[in-house]
Amino acid sequence: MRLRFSPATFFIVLATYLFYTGSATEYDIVTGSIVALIVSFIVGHWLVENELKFFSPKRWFYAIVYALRYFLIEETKTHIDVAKRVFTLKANPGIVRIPLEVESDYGKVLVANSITNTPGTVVVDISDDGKWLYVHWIDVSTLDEKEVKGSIVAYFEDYARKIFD
Amino acid sequence: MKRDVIVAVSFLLAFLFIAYAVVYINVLGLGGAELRPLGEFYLGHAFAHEGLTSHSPEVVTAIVWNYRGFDTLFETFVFFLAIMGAFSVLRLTREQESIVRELEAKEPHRQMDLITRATTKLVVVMIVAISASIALHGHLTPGGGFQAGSAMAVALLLLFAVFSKFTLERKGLNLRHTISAYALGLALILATVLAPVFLYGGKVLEINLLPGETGLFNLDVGEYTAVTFGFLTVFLVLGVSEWIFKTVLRGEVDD
Repeated sequence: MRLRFSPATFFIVLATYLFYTGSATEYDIVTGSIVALIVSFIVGHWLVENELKFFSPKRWFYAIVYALRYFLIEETKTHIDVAKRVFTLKANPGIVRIPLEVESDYGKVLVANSITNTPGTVVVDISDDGKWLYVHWIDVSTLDEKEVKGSIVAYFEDYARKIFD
Repeated sequence: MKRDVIVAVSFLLAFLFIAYAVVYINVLGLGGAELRPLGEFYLGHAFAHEGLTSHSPEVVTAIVWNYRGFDTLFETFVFFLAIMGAFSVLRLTREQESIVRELEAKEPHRQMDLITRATTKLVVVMIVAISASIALHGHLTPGGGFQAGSAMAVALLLLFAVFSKFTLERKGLNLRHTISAYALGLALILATVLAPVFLYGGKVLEINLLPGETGLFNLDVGEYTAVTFGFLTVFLVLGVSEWIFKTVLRGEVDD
């Protein structure tokens, strides 16, 4: 077992520790750092493969912009859409396949979770090579791959690529 | 359909009525109850720096490791006995272990899909941080060794379920390591419990003689290590699939 230090993991563990503890006295910072050091040495690059990506301010900026845009605009839009469907009972459900272009695992997770989190669409499965998503969609209006992707994935993937690739 | 609605609405009304009765009419006498003398004694003495105390602002931890310290101590050893019992029932010799490893290597080991794996990585690391916080901050805020160890066991279970037992074993983790770590945790507890007797001439478990909060801190860390590695031992032992286990045992009978 090779021990490698990962600063990004150290940062994540320390942040979680302090956040959960709820105080940042000298004692907390010292014990938190010791725990973070041990965990980051054991886990190494298992969690974060590329340290530079983690500490890149550009990627964090895109992540914040994406979070704001997704939670404030996209969520509201889809919630209103599904709420309308509840009252009009207009639904045409089915499972569609969507090609993924984002390379990194975390990017795929971001896209998949963004799709699941919006009402009306749920990711059912991902292919073994990680290139296709199977999505249950409340309103299968089209079967054309590009149009399906345009209306379900929208801008999620562009941001996923900017943040994680 | 109609019946479901009636049931749901009547439940809702019943709960609203109970909540109203308990909170506003004070049926059970919970609201505004005064502190009982025993509670007052504990609150008053938990953090006092002399007499019956363990220097802890966290009254629950003070009670668990001081007022009823023997109970907790023996609980720890009951847990130890339970795990050793499981381990001795399902134990294997070194040769049998190597047969198990061979058989396991032949099995196709599958992991869960990419999304689950990537999410679990982050969740596991965060659970480890949180459990460490519960243990190391246990004498200051609600928490403690056993709770932290249980939280840690969840992280281990997630690893087992989402990746596989082999992922850990290929990294070099085996029963000898986990049991040694378990023993280390127990040794820390025992040393802390006996330290007052040998260093300060006090009684067993009189941890308020130790400087500051060392006593509680050591006990929490010891319990955390013990519970974590106790669970990990059991998971590793029980993680051997049944047909492999039976095959190995039958091999012993046939010889």
